[in-house]
Amino acid sequence: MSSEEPDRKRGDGAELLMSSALFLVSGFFLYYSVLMERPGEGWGTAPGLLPGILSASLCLMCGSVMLSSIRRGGLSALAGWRGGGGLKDFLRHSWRLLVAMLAVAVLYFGLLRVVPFEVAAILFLLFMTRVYWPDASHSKRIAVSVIVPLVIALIFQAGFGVPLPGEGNIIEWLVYELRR
Amino acid sequence: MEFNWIFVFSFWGLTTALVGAMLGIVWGAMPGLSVNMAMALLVGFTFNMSPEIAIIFLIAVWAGAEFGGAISAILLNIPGTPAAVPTQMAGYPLAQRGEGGLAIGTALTFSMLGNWAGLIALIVFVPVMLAIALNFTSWEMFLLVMLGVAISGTLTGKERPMKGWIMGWLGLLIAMVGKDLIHGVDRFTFDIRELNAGIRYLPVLIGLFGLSEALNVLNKRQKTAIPTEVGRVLPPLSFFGKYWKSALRSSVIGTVIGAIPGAGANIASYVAYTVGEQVTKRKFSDGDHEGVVCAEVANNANIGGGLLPTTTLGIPGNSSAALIIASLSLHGIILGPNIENDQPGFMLFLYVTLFVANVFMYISAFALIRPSIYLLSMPTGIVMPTVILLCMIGSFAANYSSFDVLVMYLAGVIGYVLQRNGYPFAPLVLGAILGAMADENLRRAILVNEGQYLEMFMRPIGVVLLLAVAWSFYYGVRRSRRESKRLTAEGQ
Repeated sequence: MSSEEPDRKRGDGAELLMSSALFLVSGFFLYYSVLMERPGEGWGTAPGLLPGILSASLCLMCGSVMLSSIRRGGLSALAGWRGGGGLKDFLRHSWRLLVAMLAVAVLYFGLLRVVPFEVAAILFLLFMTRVYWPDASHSKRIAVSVIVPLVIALIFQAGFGVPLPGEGNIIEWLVYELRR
Repeated sequence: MEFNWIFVFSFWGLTTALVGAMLGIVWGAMPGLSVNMAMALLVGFTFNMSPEIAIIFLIAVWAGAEFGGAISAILLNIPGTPAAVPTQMAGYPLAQRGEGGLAIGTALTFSMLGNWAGLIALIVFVPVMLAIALNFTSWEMFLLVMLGVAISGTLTGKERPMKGWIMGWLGLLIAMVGKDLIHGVDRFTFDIRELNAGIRYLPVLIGLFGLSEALNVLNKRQKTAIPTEVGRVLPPLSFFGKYWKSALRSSVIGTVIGAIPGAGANIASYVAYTVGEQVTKRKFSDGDHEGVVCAEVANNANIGGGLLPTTTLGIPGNSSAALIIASLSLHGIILGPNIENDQPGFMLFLYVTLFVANVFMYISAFALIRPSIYLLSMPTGIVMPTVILLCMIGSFAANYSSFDVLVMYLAGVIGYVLQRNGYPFAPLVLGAILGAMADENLRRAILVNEGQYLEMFMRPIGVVLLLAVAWSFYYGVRRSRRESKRLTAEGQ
């Protein structure tokens, strides 16, 4: 067995998972396309016509990819992943990705609902630079985390008049007060 | 609205072109920041600009970024953009021999020539394409969209075109969400108010090209590389005599590939590089200026080529052109066969913009090559979180919608997972932008041709397009079967 063999098998397992998920999504679209209201007569101009055709052919394509990965041993790769500490391995290699995804979710759907954009962005950058720029000194990290959001807010809000998300904007308030 | 080409030479027009070109060069030079990411993030930036300034800005950024990728490719051995990979292969060995500056100067000069080639192709073929496109009926427009998505899937799926088609079909389905245009029926909205207007493709694009790329870079532990010395930059005049054949050949390749929907600069530069090696019978990866010429001419000629179907048919030639469409749609400008009737003067304005952007790219690059080296060593721990903030602003700004931010986040996360499993983005982007057009034209064709379907199928243009769609699938299936046999044999 070559050293590339485990990687290839893992790839087959991942492909099986991915294609199965896409198969379910396309099945979902197909189901609702068929059930969709049909004003007028027949399927000719029905709203579900093109979605139905697309989702049916998508089911076939995903099914083909699924079969292909099963033929190459995707099922056994998945079983091996579960039994062989695959989850621990995945977490060890992908923790940077998962942390980033979680941090972004906290920023978008947590912080921005309660604090102004500038504050949320500063907190986000403080965390991200801590994790992804570990060699930097505290003062550098703090400086960057404060300056970058303020510059962005200045450029977009004051410069281009582009609205920023968040529970209020400090720069917008400052600009308003200065213009009064 | 009417476009006046003189505006490009006004103070604001020239300033915008210069700033855009400089921003594009710096952006393209930085590893991990792609041309598509730049365009996706900056579309939000253009929201409050006038349409003229928006076009000048985005075209200048595009031109700058296509060249910018060569800087880090040659000096750091890290391509700044995916299209700069062949430039990296041919150029980095040159930098190791102390010819880094000359390689960059060659890349810059021939990038400019590539832009000229794309512009000339645009000027020559736009009237031809418009004349053909105005004869298209709804049925042919539908087939054209399906052809674009199918070809994009075939080309970008590489050895697994099925994955490209799956993405294209997904993109088309995403475009079906919302109120149906003909009967006003809610499709896949599930009583979610925000989905009544459909899923806007701009947050999807920002998620795919911005957030997912940022996640990809953050997941890798990239060490900051130390750039090599630059040295002399301006190439000698003898290079024009030596490499004009490669430049001409690569400009044709870049333009033609650019005109194929979904096939972007990375395919163009790679094909031109490979063909160049075959014609010259040399391996460019030992360090060869001719390799740099082939790659850079093609990836810049791709701009003009990509704008050809974009402006005449409303079908984006590549992902960057798709983002141009997205930006213009924010200003109510729809590209397509009626562009000259709906927006008089637009095409001439675009030609002049390309001309000016090209000139400023050339001038500003000489000034920026050395300063941008310092930026190349900026840690990804600062750059990528900043990109993530820009993604958020870009997706929120167009409609003041937190729902769009959610769409962007989901597109970014799901897009990352899909891309890691070999599913390309370009067909999905094409599908998402063109899906509504496909649906509307198909149903209109059926309504108009009721009882005369045979006549609809027998129109010559329709037959050609139908055969082209069939060939695209046949070619993809054949390639897929070959790959499947190879993988099964390896498994045994």
